[in-house]
Amino acid sequence: MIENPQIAIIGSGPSGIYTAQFLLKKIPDCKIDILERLPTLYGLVQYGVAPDHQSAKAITRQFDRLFENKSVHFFGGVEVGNAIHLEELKKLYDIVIIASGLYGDRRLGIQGENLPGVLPSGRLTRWLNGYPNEELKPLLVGPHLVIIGNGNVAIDVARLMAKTDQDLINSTMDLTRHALLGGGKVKTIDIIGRGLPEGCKSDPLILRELANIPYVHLTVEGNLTPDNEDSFPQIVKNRLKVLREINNMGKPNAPCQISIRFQLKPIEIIGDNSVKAVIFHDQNKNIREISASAVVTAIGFCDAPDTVISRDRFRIKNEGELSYNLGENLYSVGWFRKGPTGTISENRVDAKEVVEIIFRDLEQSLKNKAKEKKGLASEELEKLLKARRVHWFDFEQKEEMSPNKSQNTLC
Amino acid sequence: MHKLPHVITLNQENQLMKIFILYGTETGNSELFAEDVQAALKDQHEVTLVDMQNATLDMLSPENDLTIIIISTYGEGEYPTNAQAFVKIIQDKQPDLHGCRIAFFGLGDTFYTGHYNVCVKTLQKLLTGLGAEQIGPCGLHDASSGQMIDELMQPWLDAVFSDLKKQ
Repeated sequence: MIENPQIAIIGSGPSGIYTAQFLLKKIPDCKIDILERLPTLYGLVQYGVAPDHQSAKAITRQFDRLFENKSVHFFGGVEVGNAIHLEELKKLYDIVIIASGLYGDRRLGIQGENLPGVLPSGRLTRWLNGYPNEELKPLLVGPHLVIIGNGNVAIDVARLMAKTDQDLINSTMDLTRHALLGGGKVKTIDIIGRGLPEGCKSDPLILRELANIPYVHLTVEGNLTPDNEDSFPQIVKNRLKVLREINNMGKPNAPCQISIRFQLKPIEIIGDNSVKAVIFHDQNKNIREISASAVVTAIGFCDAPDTVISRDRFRIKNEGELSYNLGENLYSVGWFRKGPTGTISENRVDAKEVVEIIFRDLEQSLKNKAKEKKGLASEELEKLLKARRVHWFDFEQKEEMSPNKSQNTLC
Repeated sequence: MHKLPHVITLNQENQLMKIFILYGTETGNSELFAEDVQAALKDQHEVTLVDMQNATLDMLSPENDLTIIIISTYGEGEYPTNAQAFVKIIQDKQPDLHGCRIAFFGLGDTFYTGHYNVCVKTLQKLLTGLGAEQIGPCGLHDASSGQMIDELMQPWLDAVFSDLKKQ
């Protein structure tokens, strides 16, 4: 085993932080530098988790503890591939781990997708979470919102756009941006999926949360009692049960009407200067038109167009997942490795796994070749960044860089 | 730096007690709390920290002075993934736990009405139903309370150890 292995982690989202935590447990004498594209910490926890889910965001308290360890350093605002090349990092460090996630919005690939008023969900939730670099044009969502997709992100968007400012007071929502979008003033929200109700991917808890908003009336359209229900796994049965329970809960005159619809495939978004409606095919290929003042696409994530380290670059043929080891001393973990599926805790399991593999490889590397003794990688990195006039933020500066320094409070 | 609380002295004789800490965790909060409890006790006692995934029934034996169970509640009241197999073993084998001393701490969230800390409460019922003796009050943390979990640790440990001392 190399003594004091020096490890660089690219990305400070949950996968990167969990990987660092497990590394310190497994290899207590290692040194870890975490490089983050943004000046701020924790990626998806900060900008993907909904701003009104404060208890989920409270995981940052656990993450903060990592930086009490003097072997861990944060380099915020340092984009790999830009401020420093991946190849340079691989030379400086014994191990380099890509944990940069996937923050690009998957596109529908249909006509009208570029019309003003079509908003990708990732950009929207980042914007509402006070993301520093997001340039979402301030635009009004208007009275009729159509959300394409029915996973957790879609349900989050529906809830955030339905909720009034009053109900977001204890959240970290950027209320100015929420108001600019017309949040809390939407009259109808259609949440539309291509598949059957049993294939709906959203979590029962957040479905209930949406239905329980006092000024929301929610209906679910589709066959919620399929004949073969008994043959489904328990998790699917639970979801169908929840969909039945939340359907038509008895607030028909509520100001915000939300419909969850199934088996509709988007064909085209129509409008001249802005969105007017979305055209769908139903299961019998009949045309169905749903009017819309805005459309949010929430159909998953992929490499962002501006990403420098692209996941596709490491993909072999059509394989969904990358290997943990990407050759030489380069590794991958989390969404970047697996693709954009799995909860925060599922990615924690992935982080544990990559650390086991790294540990094994480090043990092996001693048998093969003892690496030449190097200087402290942190210092080398700092020297390099200074020479390139790259300014970076360390952990101590996290407060001033935090998107919403204080929570919204009643004053 | 994160401050660790004062270590606990068990009794006048200051015996080295054999303590197991079993944790069930989903996002790592319970694990971190369990590590903090271990750090608070390890100078005075013989403490073993166990991921519930690796837990065995002998860790619930009367031979041990104390078993501490720290577990979170997930989703609609589900056990954390790493705890499910062990809970199933207990449910299936129904071991006799008379003489076994167990302290409980749960991590939950009142945001999810109806599911608040149900795992620790169900486990508590299951184990005491099998004869185990509960030591101290069941500690509960609510993620929506905004309270730091660290603040709950010392008072809870004090209550657990003062209960243990009485025996």
